[in-house]
Amino acid sequence: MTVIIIDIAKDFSKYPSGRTQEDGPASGALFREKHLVPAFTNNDKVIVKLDGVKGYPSSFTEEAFGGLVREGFDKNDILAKLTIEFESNAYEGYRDDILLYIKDATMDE
Amino acid sequence: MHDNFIKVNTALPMIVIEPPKIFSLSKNYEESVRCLSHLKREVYHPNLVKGKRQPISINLASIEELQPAAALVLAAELDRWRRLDGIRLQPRRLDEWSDQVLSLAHDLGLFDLLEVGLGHKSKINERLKEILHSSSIVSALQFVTGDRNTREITEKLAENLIKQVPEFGRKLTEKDDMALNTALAEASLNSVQHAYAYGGLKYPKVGNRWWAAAVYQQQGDRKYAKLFVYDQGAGIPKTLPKSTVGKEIMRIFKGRKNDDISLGWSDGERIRAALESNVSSTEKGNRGKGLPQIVKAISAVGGKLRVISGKGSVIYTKQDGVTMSSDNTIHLGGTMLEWTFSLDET
Repeated sequence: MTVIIIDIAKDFSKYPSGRTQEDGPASGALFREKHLVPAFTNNDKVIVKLDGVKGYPSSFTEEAFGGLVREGFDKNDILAKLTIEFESNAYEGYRDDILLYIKDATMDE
Repeated sequence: MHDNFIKVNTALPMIVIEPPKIFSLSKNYEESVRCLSHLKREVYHPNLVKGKRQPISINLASIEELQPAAALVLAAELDRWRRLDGIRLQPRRLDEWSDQVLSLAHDLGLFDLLEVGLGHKSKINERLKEILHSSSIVSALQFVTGDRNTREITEKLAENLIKQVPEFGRKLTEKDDMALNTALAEASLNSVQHAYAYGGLKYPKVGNRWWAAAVYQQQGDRKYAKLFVYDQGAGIPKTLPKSTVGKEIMRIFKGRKNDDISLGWSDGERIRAALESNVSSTEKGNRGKGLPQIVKAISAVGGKLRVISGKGSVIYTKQDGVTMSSDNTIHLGGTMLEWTFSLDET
């Protein structure tokens, strides 16, 4: 069983925001392509750590995680592999949003 | 430089824009915005004399009370002109500027946008030293701006506000701090993604630019921290596609108001819909979560959110939800989001 840990603040950016590169330098699309797609393609378990970032704008998290479904990943497979971790309870709402975006995403959007 | 760049003829009489005594979007919206519209008209659609534009100045000495939101809109206007044409207005009759106007203009960074000679600079500094020891009621942080969602900028602004106003920082939990920073990021993102996408803007744009500022304000015994994000886009009511807005507004207002959207909805009602629902100018179901997330932040942190966009104006508080004012007669020329947090002990 292969496991990968992605710490957003350390491995990607302390300032994630926006959907695409046009929106900003640390967009959801970039995070998805650089980290999530390889992680979900090559691993059985993907742990994403949220700590170290001062909140996550919805367009970043929706594009990163909901975008996986639009790219053809099976949402049940994503949910089975994904674990979202954080030390501070302040991130609970962002975790809930991410899970909701995966569940709500459809291929035809 | 934009296409309409026209040489200024300094031999021609100067056009002087006279702002109202109270330059404020909350206390004197119509006159303040009319003044800004006048400035924009003279800058971008001037009446030429022999093919040349008359010099323009704005007389800030006529202002007795300058409110931060209006000052930020003015700063953005001066910044736009500077970025597009490299032109800076000369401040006039500086000696006559009120303490409050001089102090706020200085703090916000307005003088960096104006052509201020060395002589004037030393005069300003002397005045500011005197003002520093008087009972100053508004202190501001220098405005920041960007044309992409570079989050470091807005996070730094919030951090600096907390440093300047420690009592504000003490009121924020870690979760509140996150909600606040998320809201600021959402606001600048809204400008970058939606505000300028509509096209048909009356005046030239400087990229998908937004401006933000923060102030500490004392009104009588009450103290407030305020944050502002402004853009010069088409406004929320215009950028929302009619079809989606119509559907969403009908859903939101069902049971509260006539469902016949053909009656036409005011700008205020459209802003309200955008805040209360996941309506977006992109018409995609996965979009349009940004403005509701801004509302969510206010629900978490407390305080008041005021949105002025197009001709509409709404206020959101957790206690009262969204309340609308009647539409104004003049378009703001963009969207202003203003968060107010009370610093009083409750």
